[in-house]
Amino acid sequence: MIAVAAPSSLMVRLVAPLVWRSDVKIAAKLEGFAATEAGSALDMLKAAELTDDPALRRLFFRHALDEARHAQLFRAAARRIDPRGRDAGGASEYRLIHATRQNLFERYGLVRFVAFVHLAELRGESQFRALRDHFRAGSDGNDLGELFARIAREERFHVAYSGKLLADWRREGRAREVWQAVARVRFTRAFDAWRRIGRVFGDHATRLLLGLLYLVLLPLFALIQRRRDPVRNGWKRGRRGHEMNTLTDARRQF
Amino acid sequence: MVILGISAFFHDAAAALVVDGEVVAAAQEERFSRKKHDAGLPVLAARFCLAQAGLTIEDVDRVVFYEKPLRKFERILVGHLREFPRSLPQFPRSLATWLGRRLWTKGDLCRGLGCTPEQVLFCEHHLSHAASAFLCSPFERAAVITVDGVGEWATTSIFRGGPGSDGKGASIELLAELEYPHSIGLLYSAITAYLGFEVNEGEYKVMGLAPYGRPRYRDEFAKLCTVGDDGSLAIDLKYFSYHRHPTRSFTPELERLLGPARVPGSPLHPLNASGEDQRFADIAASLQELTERYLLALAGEAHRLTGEPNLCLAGGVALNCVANRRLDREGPFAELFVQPAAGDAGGALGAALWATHVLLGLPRREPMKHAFLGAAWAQEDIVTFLGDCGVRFRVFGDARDRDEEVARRLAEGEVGGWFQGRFEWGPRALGARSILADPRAPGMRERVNRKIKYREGFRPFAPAVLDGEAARWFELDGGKPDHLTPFMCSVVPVTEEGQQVLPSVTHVDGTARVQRIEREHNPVFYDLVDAFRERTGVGVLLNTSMNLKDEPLCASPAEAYGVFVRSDLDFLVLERCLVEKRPEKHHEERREERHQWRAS
Ligand SMILES: [Fe+2]
Ligand SMILES: [Fe+2]
Ligand SMILES: [Fe+2]
Repeated sequence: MIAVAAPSSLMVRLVAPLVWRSDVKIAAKLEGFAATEAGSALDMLKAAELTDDPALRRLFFRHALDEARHAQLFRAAARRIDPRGRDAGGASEYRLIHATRQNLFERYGLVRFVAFVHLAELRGESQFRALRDHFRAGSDGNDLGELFARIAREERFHVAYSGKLLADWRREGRAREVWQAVARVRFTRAFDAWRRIGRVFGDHATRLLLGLLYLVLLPLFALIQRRRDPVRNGWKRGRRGHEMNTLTDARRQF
Repeated sequence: MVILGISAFFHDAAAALVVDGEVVAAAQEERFSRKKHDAGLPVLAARFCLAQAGLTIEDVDRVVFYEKPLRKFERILVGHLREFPRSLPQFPRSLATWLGRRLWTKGDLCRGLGCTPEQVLFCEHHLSHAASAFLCSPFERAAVITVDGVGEWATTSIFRGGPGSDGKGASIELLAELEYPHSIGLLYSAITAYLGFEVNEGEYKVMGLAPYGRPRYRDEFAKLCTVGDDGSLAIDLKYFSYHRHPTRSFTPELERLLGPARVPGSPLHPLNASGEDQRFADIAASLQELTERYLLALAGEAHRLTGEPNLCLAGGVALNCVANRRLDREGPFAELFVQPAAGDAGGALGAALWATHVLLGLPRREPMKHAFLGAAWAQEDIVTFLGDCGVRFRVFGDARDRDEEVARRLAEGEVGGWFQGRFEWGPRALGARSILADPRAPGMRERVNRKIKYREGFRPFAPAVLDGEAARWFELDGGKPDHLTPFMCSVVPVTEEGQQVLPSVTHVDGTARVQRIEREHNPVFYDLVDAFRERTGVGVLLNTSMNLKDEPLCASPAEAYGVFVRSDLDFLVLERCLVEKRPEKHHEERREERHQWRAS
């Protein structure tokens, strides 16, 4: 699991009873996990493709297969639990497979990518452990406790190998580079959250402004427009038929 | 002369590179970014095109954008004024998009691609479409029809294509156009949304749904729009809101006319249809009928205006292969050509070809014979990749061994991925990135739909057939040149024998969207299907694109492997390597591996 924004395990513990309260909600959450895991699989596969180092390639590839399997486990569990049934037109089944790659390896480069994976896996692992405890305590009848236990165990491998890579690089005299990469990932995560909020706020502000502009400025122009230029019906013929094939026209954006 | 064509910022961004009149490379951005219908600046696709030719952006003479951004902006503004005050919901959103990005297209192109403002040219949207069809066609002269949602202003245009005025290059002359908001493409999309499918994505599903219904809503559709004798179209806008609402493309008035809209994602079982499902299928059928009738009227007008014997068709509506077939058979033209990337991605190719032949007068080269214009991966690189990853795989000594093995597996009911050479240009898999199966097996369609592609069970799969066997299985018009089936651009009836033998690729109405494989232009795929024929006596395979639902077609071996592990595919062939599904690695073995890492 290498999601950008996995909640902390304390958070998970606090909200788990709320979020995981009905079968429909549980199925929906599991679907969400399946999508994230499948997306991680695609990112890890891309990293395996792009790296030149055979040892890294093997690790990334193995990691990708783990995530793909996690996606399938979550998907199967969601389908089992969803009271809407496995044959609800299959609609939910289609949703489950959906995955998006974030192109993290290309965007970040190797060291920052591994730092990102390490931190994300740490969070993912503790999140799944918290959920394991939550479901084990509640004896849910769906064996979700065991599912999360199994997956958390495998996430530990992802934490371990990415951590070891970072440690190796530190030891090889790249401590500064690693430190910077980890700091940047931490910063980016905080910044992304802030930017998301900022963007939502900014979008609303911009829209409000443009909406006001619309109400104040447009009525007059709308009137003129309607007088001068009604909707054109039927064929329009002979518009600059040959003129549009000149270099002068081709330079224009209008 | 090196020309780079670019389409972007609406849907399906793409880049295409034409060097001295030859199309060297063309690809959609989504193949590299893995975002379906990626509309962003196609930086990765452009980079690929240049690398394929061994060039850099400095070597490019012109970068041609596929539409005129400011004229499009004018249409948006005028649209808001016309609809005042009802366009209020759409105005802030669309203006923010324009102010934030699209108005600065030239600067964006220069920054993103590293070119200079002097290099950049702009070609009108429908002219790009027209060029993409005509300049790839085998015709020296032809009528050209372009039909889509909307470009700058035009929604439908008729052109005449021919040699250049001074005998050099080519000419494409605009004869007539229909303007926004009168658009069969937007009407089709609005009904697609009404039927609960995603716009720009679900149009294929509507086409696949149509054969389950009857066009019982002919009278209702006659109220939605009027088709003139001259091929013009007038939409009654009271039923639609695509011109003033950001997300909703139809009004409650439409629901009063046709009944309540389908809830997106709700179950749909057209095969054993009860009331509602049948109504939706009937509406899809009525829409399909209207589209076909309209295209025929349009072809009549184009024929009258141009007097040309042949027709080229482009724009999103040209992806409607059922309508294409009818146009080919019943229309006034002798021959019809549709370029495989008929939608907006194709605009990149059209813009580049237009600048090359029309603007700069370079002579036309060979017509487009195949669509393998994407990236390839060498056998050695695949072997290294699989080896590094620790995947167990087999390498075939030669292609013949591989084909025989794959044919055997398919004949035994396995489903496999097939990755060969450069990937396809356009939305169809034509044998370079395909999922293949035995079309004779009765349950195969269900299996591939549900276990591998994870898509709606009613959607049909396409057959790929050897050229020499096509007439046995499909009712092609013998004797008439057929430019559609090599690119899977047409739907044809399946013969009686075909319907009995090929249940998995025969749609409910006894038709199939067939790909006819000519050995000359698609030898690798041809030889595989031929190996299947030698074994089974049937030179046909079920061929669908190598992707999962809502994902772009695979480009690289790793992406193909991603499809392989996330689905029920039995095997995957990457060039001459074969990977099989095998049981999960033993638990102990895995634990040991994990232990190794924790211990250190
Ligand atoms: Fe993980
Ligand atoms: Fe995971
Ligand atoms: Fe278009």
